[in-house]
Amino acid sequence: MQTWLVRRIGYSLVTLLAISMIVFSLVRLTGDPVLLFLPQDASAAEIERLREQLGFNDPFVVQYGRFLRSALAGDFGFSLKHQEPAMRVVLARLPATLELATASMVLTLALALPAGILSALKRNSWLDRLIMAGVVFGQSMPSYWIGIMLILLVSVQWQLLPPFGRGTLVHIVMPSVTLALFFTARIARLTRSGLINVLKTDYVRTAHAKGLPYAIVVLKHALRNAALPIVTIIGIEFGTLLGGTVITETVFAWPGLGRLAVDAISARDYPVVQTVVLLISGIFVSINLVIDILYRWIDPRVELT
Amino acid sequence: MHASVLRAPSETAIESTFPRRRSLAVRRPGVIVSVIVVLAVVAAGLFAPALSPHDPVEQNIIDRLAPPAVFAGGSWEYALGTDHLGRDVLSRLIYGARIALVVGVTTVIVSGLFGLAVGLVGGYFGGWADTGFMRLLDIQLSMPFMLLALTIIGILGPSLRNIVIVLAITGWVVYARIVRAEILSLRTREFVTACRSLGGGDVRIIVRHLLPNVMSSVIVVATLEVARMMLLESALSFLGLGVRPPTPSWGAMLADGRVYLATAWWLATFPGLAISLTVLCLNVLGDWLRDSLDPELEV
Repeated sequence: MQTWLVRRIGYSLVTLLAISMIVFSLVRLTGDPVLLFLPQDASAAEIERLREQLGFNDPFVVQYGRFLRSALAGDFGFSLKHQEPAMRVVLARLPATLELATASMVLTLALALPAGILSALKRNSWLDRLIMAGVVFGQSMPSYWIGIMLILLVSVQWQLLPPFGRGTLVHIVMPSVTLALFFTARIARLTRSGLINVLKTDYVRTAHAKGLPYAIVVLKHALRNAALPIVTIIGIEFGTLLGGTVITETVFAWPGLGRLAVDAISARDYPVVQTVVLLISGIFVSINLVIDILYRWIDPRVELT
Repeated sequence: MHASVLRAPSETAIESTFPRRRSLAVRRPGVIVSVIVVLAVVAAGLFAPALSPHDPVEQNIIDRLAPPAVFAGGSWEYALGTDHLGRDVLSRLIYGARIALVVGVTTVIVSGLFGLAVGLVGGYFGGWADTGFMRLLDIQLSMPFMLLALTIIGILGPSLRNIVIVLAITGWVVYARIVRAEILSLRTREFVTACRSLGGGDVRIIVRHLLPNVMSSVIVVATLEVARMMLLESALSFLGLGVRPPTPSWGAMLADGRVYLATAWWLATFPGLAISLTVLCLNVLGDWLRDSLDPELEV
């Protein structure tokens, strides 16, 4: 277990390192970052001097090493647009995105788990078909279109909820519904197939055969065993949710990380872009790590990989 | 209960063992509808100039923001209304099918071929190249895709070519993973050993024996991926990082229509319907293909 743990953590660190390298080289592709610091009419000599001063003439590896060292010390560069350290700008927006992601996740689970369980238990019934049809619909509609249609109907037509912004509890309803619809479809589908696989196993058949009531078989035997892979998926989906709020945040003018990234890209504020991608990847990798460890701990049969 | 148990094994038993197969139209009417819709979208893309009543980029300020024909103030001149520049919405939708199809099909071909090659070769030979690609796959899966795509396009600049590049980069993972997993279980099977003992080389085994066995999964994944790629393209266009205006793209039309939501609902509604319907039908087709070709496949 201990060697596995060390290897697993080491693996996460290598992944993060590789991601930082990819993001760093992507941002360096953008052309001359020095030009952003200087007025338009700067002379060639001035540009050259600043470039030398900021270290952009050094080899790529040296630049990356420097970036990594300061990143480890908590310095992720300076945002020109916000006139603040990039990490501070990003962290200021993190709560909004976490709030939205959590609300959507709660909504998703409240819808997806009952739907997935019901359709697995009543496989091939009309209810199952209905739920699966809903799943295909949920996966096919672009989230921004759902968002816009919600604004059109609920805000413009019926004037029930505010069309955009963040603040009160009312504001979070439409963005979280929009996000939740897509993820509900995915999780309901995976819950269904996971539970169907468990229902096929020998121990469920044995439980039925020895005359246990249906409810006990489902609750104590099937669901408990189906729960593990579902929890894994939920963890992964939460990571995806954090990175996937870009469009929903744009539609509803939600002041979170996704919108920050979109604005930063159009303003060529690359330290901020870099920090957002690194932060979300970091959260994602950590969630996966925690899930893997929990999984190992709860179910020791899981293979050591 | 007892009666049925005691009944002689007559034709009822035979019938239940070999149920008469009802036609596809009865079992899954959705599949037939989906085939028709997908064919219609393909036809719209192929014959856009002949089908569209107007030039999709022609502006006509006098007729701007005309509602669809069946609503007050609309005319059959512009069946689905006009946008803020007086361009015909129907014609733009028909031309928009072109962008959706071109992006969906090319990205799937590019990423599918690459992922297939990685999965086949990596799964069969193993070794450092296989390990390397699998690490790359893991890393790619732990990065927030949408943000990455935005960054790359923000850097390279929005164009049709760059969208295809970015989407192909995201797509190969799906094929590589599924193909590799299947090859790993296929490569020790008897027919492969038999081929090898008869003197068949690696190339022959891969091309003649392994490839045909993974094709059904690849076809299923490719169908579902065309749908996913179309969704992603429209999302990028919606954020202003897709094909450049005035080229009509469904996502970009929707983004333009957002501004006029309170006054001209049709601008955002129809392109969204077009995307949803196309993607929905492709997903239904993909699900049906999976159920009939490869029911164990988890996508």
